[in-house]
Amino acid sequence: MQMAIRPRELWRTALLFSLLVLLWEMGVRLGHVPPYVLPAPSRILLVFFTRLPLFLQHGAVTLAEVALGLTLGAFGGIGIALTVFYVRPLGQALYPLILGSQMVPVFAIAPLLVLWLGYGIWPKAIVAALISFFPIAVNMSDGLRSVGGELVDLFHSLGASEWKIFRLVRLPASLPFLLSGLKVAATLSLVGATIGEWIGAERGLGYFMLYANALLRVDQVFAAILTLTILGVMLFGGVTLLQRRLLRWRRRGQLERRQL
Amino acid sequence: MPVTMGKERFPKSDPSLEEPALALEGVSFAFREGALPVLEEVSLVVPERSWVTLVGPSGCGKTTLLRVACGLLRPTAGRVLIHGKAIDPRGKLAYMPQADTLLPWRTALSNAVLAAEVDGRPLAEAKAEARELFQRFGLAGFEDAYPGELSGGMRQRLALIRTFLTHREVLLLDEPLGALDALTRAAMQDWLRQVWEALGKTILFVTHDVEEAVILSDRIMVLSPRPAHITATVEVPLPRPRNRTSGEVVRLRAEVLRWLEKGDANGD
Repeated sequence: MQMAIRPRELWRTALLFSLLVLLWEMGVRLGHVPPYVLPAPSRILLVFFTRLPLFLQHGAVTLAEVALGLTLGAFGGIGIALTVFYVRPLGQALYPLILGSQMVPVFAIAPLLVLWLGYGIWPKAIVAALISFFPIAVNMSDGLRSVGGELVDLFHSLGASEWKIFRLVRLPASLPFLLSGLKVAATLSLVGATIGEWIGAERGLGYFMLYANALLRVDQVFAAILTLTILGVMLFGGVTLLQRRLLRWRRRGQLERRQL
Repeated sequence: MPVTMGKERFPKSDPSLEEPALALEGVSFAFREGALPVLEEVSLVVPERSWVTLVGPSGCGKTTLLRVACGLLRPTAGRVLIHGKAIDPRGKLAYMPQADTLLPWRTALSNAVLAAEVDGRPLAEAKAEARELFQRFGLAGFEDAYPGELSGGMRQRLALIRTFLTHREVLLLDEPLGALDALTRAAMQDWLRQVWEALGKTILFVTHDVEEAVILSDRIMVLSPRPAHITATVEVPLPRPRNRTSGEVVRLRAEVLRWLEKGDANGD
């Protein structure tokens, strides 16, 4: 995925967003929309800040589920990519199954996971992992395959072992791909954890949203969504920072040569 | 081994005294059984510290020949001998592919010492050695630059330094000066000759530039179109550095070109 956010052009986004929020605020006020149908942005912000500890508390729970799920998903995705690449027969047998697994809606599996694993962190982490491993596996596979034949020839001519080729070439060449996958996975894992919480939980932002919804506290539902959004942006930003640190060579090189 | 200079580089009087650094004996190669072979009974000898160049029409199998020589491809017939021994050449020779194979995520210096890492040699030593070569060959100050920050000529110099630093005696260079403009190319030819002389390496070189071949080599082998075999061996017994406009160079260049054209006429 090659979408870059340019900080200098962010003011347009800020302007557009402010305009939309303003329209929303005015619409609600002028149209006398009751807050249990659609609360005004000002009211959502007020709720968010006055009950900040509550949102932080539930947010921390969701974040822990995401962290665990994303870690599981990353290891799983990388493991699958390595298996598909290095253990060809097993990989070829595995790949259609993995592709098929993406056709199964996670909503269908989540209740089973709750049934088997209870209300704790595990079912949510597993749902998050199930959603997030796929983009990581796909990207990492592409990365492992991105290394050109002549480069591999060079290493073979030096008498390098497969392990050396992996460590010195394939792994660093895969890193940009892996981080792109991780970016997508980070956002998806948040969705996964929230879905997990909807199915069965006692804590977390997803649980809190359902709870507030049942009480017709729509302003609190929106404040929870705001918290989720902030978490998502933080995760995305975190991976972007990691990308900048690890891929400094790509920013410094004037020529961006992705093909090796 | 006697110290030899200039045209005495090959002690022809008693060839049994030293085995050539690299030799191909009746090497044939085909990608599939029954397919048109790429190489047909190619024999050549690369004496120690010599510079042997392969020229031939494009697509005739020069690259394939290098890949067979360094063990990336197994010959369908014939043998590859290293110092007279038919051992697996992998790890014994330094092969520089035609494509840019610098690792973009490594700095110039750490690209240069790649072979040391592959071999498990001490890195500090290799880096010191690389710094010296950087100094000597105009890359000083670019040790920490990434390949993407270097010009085309610098990248090729870096790739060559990396090849020299493999500590392999025989270097197989596949059109290492291709994709350079004429001026840079002439400067690089001179540069390459100096490094070769200074480090006492043996070079098997591929080019399609006949003048380059005459300027640099001790011996030029002319290959025919596919299936490639050697149609002529042209010795270049001239002292270095050579002047591209000197009568001898022009004459040898014409001779090689004549052989190349003949190969074309006889080819299928």
